[in-house]
Amino acid sequence: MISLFFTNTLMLAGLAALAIPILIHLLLKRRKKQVPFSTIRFFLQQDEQSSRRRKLRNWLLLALRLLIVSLLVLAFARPYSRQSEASGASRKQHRVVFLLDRSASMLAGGTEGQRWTLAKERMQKTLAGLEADDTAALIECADHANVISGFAPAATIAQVLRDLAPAYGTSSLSEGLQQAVRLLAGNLPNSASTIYLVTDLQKSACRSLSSCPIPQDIEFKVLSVGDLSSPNLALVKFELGAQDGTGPQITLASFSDENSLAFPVEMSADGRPFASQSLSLKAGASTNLSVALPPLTPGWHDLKASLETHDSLEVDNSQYACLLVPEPAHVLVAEPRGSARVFEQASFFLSSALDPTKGSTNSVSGSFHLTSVSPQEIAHELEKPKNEASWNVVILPGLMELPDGIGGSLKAFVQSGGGLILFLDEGMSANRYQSELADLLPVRFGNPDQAPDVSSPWRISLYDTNSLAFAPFRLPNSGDLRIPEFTKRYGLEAVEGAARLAFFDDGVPIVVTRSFGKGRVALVNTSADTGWTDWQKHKTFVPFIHGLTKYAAQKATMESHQENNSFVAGEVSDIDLGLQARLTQFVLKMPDAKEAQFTTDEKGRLKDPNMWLPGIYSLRDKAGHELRRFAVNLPVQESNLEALRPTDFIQQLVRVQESPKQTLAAGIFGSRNDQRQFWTALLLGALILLLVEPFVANRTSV
Amino acid sequence: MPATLNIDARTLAAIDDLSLVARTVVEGFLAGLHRSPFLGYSTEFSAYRAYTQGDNLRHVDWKVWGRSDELYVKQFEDDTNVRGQIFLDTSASMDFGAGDANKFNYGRVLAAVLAEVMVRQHDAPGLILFGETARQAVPAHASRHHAEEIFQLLANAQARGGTRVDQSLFHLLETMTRRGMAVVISDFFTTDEAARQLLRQLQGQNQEVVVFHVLAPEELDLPYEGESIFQDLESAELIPVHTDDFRREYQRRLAAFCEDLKRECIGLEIDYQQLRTDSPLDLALIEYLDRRAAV
Repeated sequence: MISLFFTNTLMLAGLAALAIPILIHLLLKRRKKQVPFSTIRFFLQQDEQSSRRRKLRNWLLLALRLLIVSLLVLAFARPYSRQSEASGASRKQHRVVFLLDRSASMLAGGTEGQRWTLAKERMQKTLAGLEADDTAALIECADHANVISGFAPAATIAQVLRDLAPAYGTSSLSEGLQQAVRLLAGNLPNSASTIYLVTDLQKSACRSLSSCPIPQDIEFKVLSVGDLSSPNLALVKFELGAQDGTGPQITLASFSDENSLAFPVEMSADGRPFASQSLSLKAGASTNLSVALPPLTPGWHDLKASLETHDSLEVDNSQYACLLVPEPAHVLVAEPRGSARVFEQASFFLSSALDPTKGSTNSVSGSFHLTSVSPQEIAHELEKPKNEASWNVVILPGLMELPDGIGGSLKAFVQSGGGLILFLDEGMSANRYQSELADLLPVRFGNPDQAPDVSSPWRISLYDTNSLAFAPFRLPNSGDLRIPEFTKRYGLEAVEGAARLAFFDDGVPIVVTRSFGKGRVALVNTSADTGWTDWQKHKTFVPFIHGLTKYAAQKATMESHQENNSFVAGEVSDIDLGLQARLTQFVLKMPDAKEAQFTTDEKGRLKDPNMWLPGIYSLRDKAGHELRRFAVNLPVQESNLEALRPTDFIQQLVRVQESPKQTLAAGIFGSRNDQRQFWTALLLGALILLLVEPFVANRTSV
Repeated sequence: MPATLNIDARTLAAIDDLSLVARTVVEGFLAGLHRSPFLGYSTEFSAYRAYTQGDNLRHVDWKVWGRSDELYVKQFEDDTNVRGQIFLDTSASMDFGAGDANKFNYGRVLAAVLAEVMVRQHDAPGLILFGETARQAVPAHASRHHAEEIFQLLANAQARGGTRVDQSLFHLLETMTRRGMAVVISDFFTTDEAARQLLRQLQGQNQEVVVFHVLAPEELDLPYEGESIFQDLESAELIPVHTDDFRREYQRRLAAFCEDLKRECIGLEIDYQQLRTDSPLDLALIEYLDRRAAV
């Protein structure tokens, strides 16, 4: 029922002004005067219709003036209508928007049960309370706010809700609120709007709330689930070692206000535990834990760290990583003193550095697979078919006798992509080297050289850490290459196209490399054994040999395979597989063993692969060959379950008087649904009639 | 064509003595002309011809005989005067027009001025007043005394009654046997065809007719506002009229009436001149003199 009220009732006395146009009308309606005229012959056929029209116009003018006065008086009295709620004769239609928090924290348990389950139950209950003509909409509040369902009957929303699961990512409630306000913009007349925020009010999700003003005519309710404070322990980070041989590191954190009891932390690789440790954390503390990786066969491996405890959120008790162990480089070393005792052999230090466990274990080999043969067998080994032997690098210590024909074999080997490392030694013939390996050598030999004084040997003073050979020494405190001493060497001159990677302190190069065909050749201007240097006795020798061998073998380091393999749930957008993978079909195997097919775009990107579930994902080609693995973990902020009180949350909201989108009707009649103002419309009407009045008056005279 | 003179009838109407008015008008009018417009008196030379026996010796040009020793006789045009009948409408509808622009006054002044002009050029002016009845007020006669009689009659004339062309008027017309001029001054607001019958009759009587259609400014402009009740001056009939609404239609109808009358005049080879009573008399005099020259 609609009732009409006036804000300024006294102004209605102004209706007495209606007498003014009536008086004007009467005063101007003069008495007809009699006029003698020569003849009335031209008046006899006067159009009677004209007279009637004129009288009608007179009345119309009077009515117009009365209406103008009435409208002005009523406008100043400021009338408004109000819908009586008590009568209940016409119930307002409700438009309800549910804003559902789908972040991972909604999986947390509490005193009343799991938050997600509670949230769905409360929403279903609210939906059940809606009338048949009410409508509801559903907006998910995950990493981005999305409208899952526009306005629809409550039963439809209930059905959508039934199949909904958490999204494991973070949530921004402010973005969701913006969506909800936009959805409710253009409020329908005689309807009420309500936003239901269904959330655990986790503090990390309640940011930038002031950026989303909510009109006051929209009712706002919070269906809060979960407790204000929920003790939680979490694995928040899983980092693989930065360098080969370094074990992974995991970070644990306590989001509780109480010290934790001891809990076990377990690491597993490919499902097999390889490390376990018991830990306890103080309230709010965090700690790092480093473990050594077990020997892993070449190929992809899953790594999982998990802690066993009964806390509020179980899904953050695990962290995942994946690791590609590259195939070992096959190194062929020439050993001229094969019959001597091992430690007297020329390649002893090389073998020890590259493959220290050679022949002593059946465990997985390291990065290098080493084979020693006599110099005479080198050519034979290199000429073997690929299926019998596939060498990556050949290392020649300084050979007194360079076998005939070895140059051709080595040349063909390097040409096809192999690596050759040459050391020098006492008694070797520079001329012989020069003639046999002419095209391969990165230097031209000069004369053998000896340090003038034993007490002042040569030392390495300059080296190029940008090259892979010296990459292990890039970081500070990774070894001092100036310590090793060198007493003998060759005078060298680098050939054109060769690169000098390191120098003695007097400027003579110690490491010179060059490319030949598809392969690389490196010459080290010292002996492989301790004849000319004591480098082998220092800790920088092993990383140098490793780096140099990888350089020659053109093998990337293991960490280069780890990049872009780890993602945060909900933040995975596109995965770049490179141009070689463009417009190719792939199968992505999910942590829950489900598979999804994707096709890369023109740039080789896997668009929106929907990787929201924490765990390991495996990407395979159509033939089933595994190409990549990805680890997806929960966002760190979801582990902190500290929440706001609903009242505190509502206090942070900004409420505004009017809806953001002003409609013309709202501008004229006001934006309140229960109260409609009429003064603007009346004033507008009076102004329009005031404009019309002169036209009518000009055409009408009394 | 004579130069235009501003002979203001309204100013002249203020003078009671119509003869004075007429003389003033005519003198003023003539003074503005470059030569006399009067024609037809017997002194007007026409041509020479050889003397034949029996010719009056008074007409022999002795100067020519002295130069050429031949006798030539001067010939003169006919010196017969023209009878000019002035018909003035005295119906009540003529007594309309505020103050000086009253149609009847304007008509009277115009008639007097025309009479004066006729006397000046030795024509014989006559006056016939027609209204409810027609009467030969003053017969046509060419003398100063006669003109004074016309002025006196015009001064005493009054406009009343309707306009009717009855037998009495036709009897008068039948007496106009000589070729002459007839000047009709009227508003032609008659309920029947009387006025037009009069024109046709005059044309039939071999008269050179000039029509002066006299209309007051109020009739032409209808300058009234709002609704008024109009009373017919002849029939006393009343009719309410809203002039603001009807003005345009009234003017259209009046224009159509005037146009009909003019067309009728053209059909009868009669000169038609509409005169607005707030306009000078020049137009009327010029019109008359032009017509007189053709007789």
